[in-house]
Amino acid sequence: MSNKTRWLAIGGAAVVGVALMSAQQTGALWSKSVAVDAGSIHSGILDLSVGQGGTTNYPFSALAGANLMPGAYAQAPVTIYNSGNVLMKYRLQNAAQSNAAVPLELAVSTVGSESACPAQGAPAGATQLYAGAMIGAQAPAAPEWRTVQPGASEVLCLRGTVGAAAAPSASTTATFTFAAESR
Amino acid sequence: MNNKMKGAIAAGAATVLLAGGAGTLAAWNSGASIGGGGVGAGALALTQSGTPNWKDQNGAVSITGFRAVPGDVVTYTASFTVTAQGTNLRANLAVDGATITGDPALKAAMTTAVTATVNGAPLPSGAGGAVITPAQNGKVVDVKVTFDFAQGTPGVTAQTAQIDLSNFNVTLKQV
Repeated sequence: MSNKTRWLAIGGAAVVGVALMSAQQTGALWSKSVAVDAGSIHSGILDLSVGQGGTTNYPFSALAGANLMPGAYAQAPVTIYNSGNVLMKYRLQNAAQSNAAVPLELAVSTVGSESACPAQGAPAGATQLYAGAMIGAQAPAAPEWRTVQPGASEVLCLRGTVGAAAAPSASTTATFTFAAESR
Repeated sequence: MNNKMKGAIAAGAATVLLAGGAGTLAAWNSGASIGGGGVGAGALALTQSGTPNWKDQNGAVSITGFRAVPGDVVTYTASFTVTAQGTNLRANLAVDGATITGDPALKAAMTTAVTATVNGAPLPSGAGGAVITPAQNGKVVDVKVTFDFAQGTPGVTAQTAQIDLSNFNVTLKQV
């Protein structure tokens, strides 16, 4: 390496050194941070469950009848639980039948306890939410909701009545779908 | 001219120069002192003051037992006393977003906004946060962090999750 080359190399190193020093200078501005323990935000859980034991897929076998004549009915209570930790709004969102040719009427009421909804007879202290066709039933009708506090429950009394136009030896099963929202 | 001769001439020139320099001591000279005053450095500091609090859209809440649901707007408020001394001092007051950690789904479902006010009046904001100047020296700045839990959060998204602010950082940085 000639002397000229050496000087160029040293000069280059000096420029790099200045550049590095320049870059470090920006970190010398004042700054101050304060750490605060502000805790945590927790989101809740919305959990609707039904029937004894509170499940999400409840075989509602109590609401069944055999050899029912037109006008006869099956009636049974079902308990709706708020198994979550936030206020729950819910409704019977829909009812469907496996055999739509069987005419069924549905009546839905709230009662104070399951014992207030006997298999036969008018439910005691009931407030009716719905009376009409089984298929497409909604109780209460949207946009209304029932509200249940966390850990609390509500008892519904459901009555399915065979319509006057029912054909002999026909059968169907009914499926009830409940919907819930948090607010 | 050989090298010895060159060296001798160089030494002689240096001696003359040194002698010349020494000669100035013999000339008249005079001096006067000037009262220049002192140069004082400024200061930049941030101190938490008061008691932080949490509230939702309905009022004060205890964040420990609070369970947020879609549609909630949760606000954390903390107050800081600002020291900003320096004729040309400008600084940015900002929340370090990296210190707000937690469940990604819940963070995604919440819109976070930070505001800084003095006596209810918002501070001017720049690219790096609220702008602090010596005009705010000694004032109490209220920093609010708002978490807006989207009403349209679908299904069971972001349930039983948490956002951790246990090491929440507020920074005052000179710019």
